[in-house]
Amino acid sequence: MEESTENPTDPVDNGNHVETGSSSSRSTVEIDKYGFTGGSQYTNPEFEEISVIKIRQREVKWLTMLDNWDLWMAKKFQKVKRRCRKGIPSSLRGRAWQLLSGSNLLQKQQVGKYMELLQSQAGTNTVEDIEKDLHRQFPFHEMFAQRGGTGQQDLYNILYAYAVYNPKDGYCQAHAPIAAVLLMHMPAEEAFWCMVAMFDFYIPGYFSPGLEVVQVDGSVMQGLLRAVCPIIHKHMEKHNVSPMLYCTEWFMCIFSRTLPWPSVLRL
Amino acid sequence: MGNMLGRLFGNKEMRLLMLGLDAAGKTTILYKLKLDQAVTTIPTVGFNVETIVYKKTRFNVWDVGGQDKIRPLWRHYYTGTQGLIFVIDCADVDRIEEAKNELHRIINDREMRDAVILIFANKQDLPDAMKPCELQNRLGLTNIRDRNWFVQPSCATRGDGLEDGLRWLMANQKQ
Repeated sequence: MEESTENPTDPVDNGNHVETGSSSSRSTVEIDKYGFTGGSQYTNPEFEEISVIKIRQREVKWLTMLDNWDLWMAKKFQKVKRRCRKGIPSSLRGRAWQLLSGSNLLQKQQVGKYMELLQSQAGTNTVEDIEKDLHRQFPFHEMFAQRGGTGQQDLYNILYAYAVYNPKDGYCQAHAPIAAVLLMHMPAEEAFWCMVAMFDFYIPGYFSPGLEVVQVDGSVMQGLLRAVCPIIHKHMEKHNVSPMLYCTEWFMCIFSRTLPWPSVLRL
Repeated sequence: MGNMLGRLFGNKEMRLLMLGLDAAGKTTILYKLKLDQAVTTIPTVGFNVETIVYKKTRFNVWDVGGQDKIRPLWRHYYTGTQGLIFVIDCADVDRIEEAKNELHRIINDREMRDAVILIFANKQDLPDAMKPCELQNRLGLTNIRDRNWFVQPSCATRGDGLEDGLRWLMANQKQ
């Protein structure tokens, strides 16, 4: 999945040009509706999942829901869940993620904490480790294409802040793609808290030294495979392919690098 | 269902996306239209959205923060947009080129190809504010013939020109 970063924006000439404006280093390229200019995440513009009218209707439904979020979560949780599975409209995805993960509450409880973390000292090598990875996250996305651009700066900041926030785990390479996905949908501070909420509530221990939790989930995956699809399970076993060989990246990056982009956003 | 009833009684709906550089007056316009008050606004991080009912049309207006750092997030609001409202601070002559680049980037996006374009030439009350025809040239609009656009002078704090803008949008909505 690693892509070369040397030439992130290869102009594809098919007559439908888009000015990329302020960053003069880039020429005219076609950008898909998620902000990608190429690479494996690029979605064909002809690919339309749902009609525009449907999207507008969903937006209105989601707006009412977001306005009375606590009530909906308490009284109509199943409906919220169903609507999430149908797909959150892209305009509201950022806000919905913050509410769903509870990160908006974390952020409210700790006003100023993010800035404080940024000014604190991180463990040794953290800065170098993060910097090595910065330009390798979604180089085909307009937000991260430019070296040292605001997208990469924000990415650096939230990764650094998390490494300070959780010094026990520190920076893990799997943090970066997740952080990048969040940044595509919300400002840096919001993205940071969303990351905290996800890592602490949903996948605690995933990034601790030894990666035990990931390995446990790997065995669970193996068990599931045996139960649901014994033929594949047998085949894998015959060739000595344990789930840890293919699941690690899936799990640790929460599938952000593996699935087609519209699917990533629905997870 | 709501939609069908609405059509029966001649009510229309329109999804509008309001963009522009930071401090152009987007949020002020939104709440002047909604509450008929000149509110004191803080810089928008994320978005505000309000439904404004005007002459039987329900306008769902999305007002999205304009600071350069958060502009990459604009894209998420494109899909389904029927009208773009692009707000210009006419006294901010230094950043007119930047505004022009952003505007062209938006209207050339595939997801925005069906949107009609309303430009609010805002802050007309300030001395040295650019006049609509000058703005039209400096934004490079004069040569755009394949899109439906209109420049409306406005003063958001007083409310001048805002309803005229909505009327133009109503009259020019694509079916």
